[in-house]
Amino acid sequence: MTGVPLIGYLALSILMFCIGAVGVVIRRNPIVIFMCIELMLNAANLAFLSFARYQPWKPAVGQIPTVNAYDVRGQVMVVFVMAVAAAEVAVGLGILMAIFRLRDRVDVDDLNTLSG
Amino acid sequence: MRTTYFQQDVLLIILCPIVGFLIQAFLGGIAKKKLGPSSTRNLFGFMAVLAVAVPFVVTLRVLTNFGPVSSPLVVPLAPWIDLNSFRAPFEFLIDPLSLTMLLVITGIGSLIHLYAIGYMAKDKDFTRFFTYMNLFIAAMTILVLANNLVLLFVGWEGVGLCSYLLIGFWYKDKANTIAANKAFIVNRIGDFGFMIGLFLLYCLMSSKAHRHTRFLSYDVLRTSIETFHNHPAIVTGICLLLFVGACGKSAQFPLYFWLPDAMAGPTPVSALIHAATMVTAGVFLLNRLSFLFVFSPVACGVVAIVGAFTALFAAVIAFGQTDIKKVLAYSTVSQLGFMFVACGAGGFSAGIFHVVTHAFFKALLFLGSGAVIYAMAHNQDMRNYGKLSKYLPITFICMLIAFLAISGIPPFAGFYSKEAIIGDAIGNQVFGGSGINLVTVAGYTALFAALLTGFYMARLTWLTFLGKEERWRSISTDHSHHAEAVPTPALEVQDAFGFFASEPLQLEEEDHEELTADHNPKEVPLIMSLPLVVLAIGSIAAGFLLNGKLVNWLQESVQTLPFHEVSWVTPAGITAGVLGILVGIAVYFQGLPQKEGWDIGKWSRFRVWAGSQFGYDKAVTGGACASGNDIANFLSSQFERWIIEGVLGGIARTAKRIGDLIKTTQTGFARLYAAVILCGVIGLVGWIFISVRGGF
Repeated sequence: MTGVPLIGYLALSILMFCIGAVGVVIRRNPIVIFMCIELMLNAANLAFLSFARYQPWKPAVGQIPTVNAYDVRGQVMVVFVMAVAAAEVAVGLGILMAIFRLRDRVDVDDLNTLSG
Repeated sequence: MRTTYFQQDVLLIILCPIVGFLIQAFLGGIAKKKLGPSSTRNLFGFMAVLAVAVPFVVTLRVLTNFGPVSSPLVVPLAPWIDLNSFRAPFEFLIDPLSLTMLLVITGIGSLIHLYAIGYMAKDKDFTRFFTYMNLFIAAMTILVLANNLVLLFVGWEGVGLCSYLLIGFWYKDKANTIAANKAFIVNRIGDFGFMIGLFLLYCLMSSKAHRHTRFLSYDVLRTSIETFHNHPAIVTGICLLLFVGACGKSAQFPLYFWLPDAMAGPTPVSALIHAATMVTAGVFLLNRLSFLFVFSPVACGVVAIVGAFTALFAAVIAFGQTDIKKVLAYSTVSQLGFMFVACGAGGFSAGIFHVVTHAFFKALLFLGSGAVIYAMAHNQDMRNYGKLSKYLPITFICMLIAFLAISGIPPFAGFYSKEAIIGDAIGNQVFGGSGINLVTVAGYTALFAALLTGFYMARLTWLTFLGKEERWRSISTDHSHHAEAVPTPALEVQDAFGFFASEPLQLEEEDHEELTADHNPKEVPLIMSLPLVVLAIGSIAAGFLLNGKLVNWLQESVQTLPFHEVSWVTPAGITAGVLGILVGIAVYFQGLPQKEGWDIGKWSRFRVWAGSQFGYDKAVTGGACASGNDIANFLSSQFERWIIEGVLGGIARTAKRIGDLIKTTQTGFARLYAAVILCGVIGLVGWIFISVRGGF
């Protein structure tokens, strides 16, 4: 609990999120877009972790302070996000492979057949 | 105690044909596959007869237990329509009227079922035929046993349905299905009147502060005489509307024209449904509600006049017919007219008497004509017959008895009932006093129709069984014989394989076997001649056995108006019958007269006109169809185009326009979507900030 204050972690998280978001919007290579999405998810993870770490601890009345009493909900959420991200990447890369086999070239702007 | 005893019997009477119907319907097809057509025919034919014969025996038992003088007995079976203000349970009425009708239906019904085993033996839809027949008997028993008008209507519609199914039994021939549709539709017109009458009666009865909620049951209606007495106009309306229903079912004048076409069905059907039982339902209805009709002289007058006109009209049309079954069909319409004359004159039970005797001799006539048709390779034209008495002696004798019975010659059955009808009508006191009135005129008309009856029945008998030549012998030399029998191409193809030459198998239609010059008519098998003989005995005996007794017995359930005896009716009736027959003999003794031969051009104009029902059928059906067409055309061209297209098309076009507008946002560029989502997220976060903190 020394050195870096909470705001530093959050600033880094916001920065990562913004880089990711801008990357998703401006890049056309789907692999890079995936990386950017990954970046956004990890920004969220970082925010979760820092909030969890800096959370003030208030034991209930008469509760004996043990390791188990620490609130780990933030950490748990991170594990979930990682699982979801892994699944998403697996599916996404599968789709990408299929598109690549079909077209020999992957560019998200080419994938515009689902238009009105 | 007595009620529970009768409960079982009533249940048995109604359930037997229903169970028979279910067995025929669900096991018939399986049995045909497992047992083969021959044993299926024997087994299922036997079961079909059993399903009708058992109720007959049970009815006889009920009759003996009921006794000759007991009062009507209501047998409740189960609740059905059960409201706070109105109840119509499954309840049945045992009284002389329902017992009489039941005996006719099940007795003659089982004879005709027996006959049909022989007649339909070669039909591949044997079990389907008996499915419908048993269902018909079930519906008819419900109709006559019902103790309220709602339950009666169930049977009423049930018999209509079976009639439709059986007329269109050989449905592959389009003419048959058209005839079936016609019968069904014309009956719907009658039912429309019936239902309106029923609703009117409901309104009349429910508006009174009544102790009973079962106020459409006969036992309650019979005790509501004051209500009827106080509302003569409404009662007249109810009676006339119910009579419209009776007209439809019993083929009376405005609605008679479905019955002749109904002869498209197999002949046993014509005998059972379209002569002996179902078409008498209208007469039965009037008898059931006789306590209502006696309050309305106007309705009675209308009934009598319509009946008399129908009797005369149909008798005249019969002269223009060459199809043996058509002649009998018009004769049925005519005889039903007699029954309505009786009802209109207030002699309701005389009408039922004629129903009973008519059931015997008309069923006999139809079964006899069926035997002739069967023997003559399914050719129905009397111009091809002649001298058949040589080949069909049993049929001839039975038909002769029926002919004398329908012509009103004593001591045969028709004489007594017809005499009772004409006597009732001429001596009626419907409008209070005696003297000439509408009903009396109806009586005289009926007397004249009785003369015509003898005439056209003599024509039928002489053209078919007597005369000097066997006219089908000259078929091949005279091509005009085939003028009306145009074989369909499909059948010609079948014949090309020599199908019928090797084995005269009757497959689908009644008339695809050709009558040829070397045809030798054969007498029908025993299973078909036995019912003929039994019915012939009935046609002889039913009249003098029941004369007077039946009418007396029916007094318990049927109300009649008084009439004064007219002494000259009996001799006049006999004279009319004998005179008609003598004229008939004089005209047809030689056989087929030139002016009724194959060349329609030689016919007298009146006979041609009569043969085409004076254009009535054509005018009505043509008019109805044409105006229906016009309405449909108008709807399809105008309504469809402007209203339906305008409204629905307008809605569709508006939706499409909105859709086109929104569609433009779907560009298909994934990065744009991502950018929009991002903007949305930023907006959402900003909104949360503002709403949580009240501003930055």
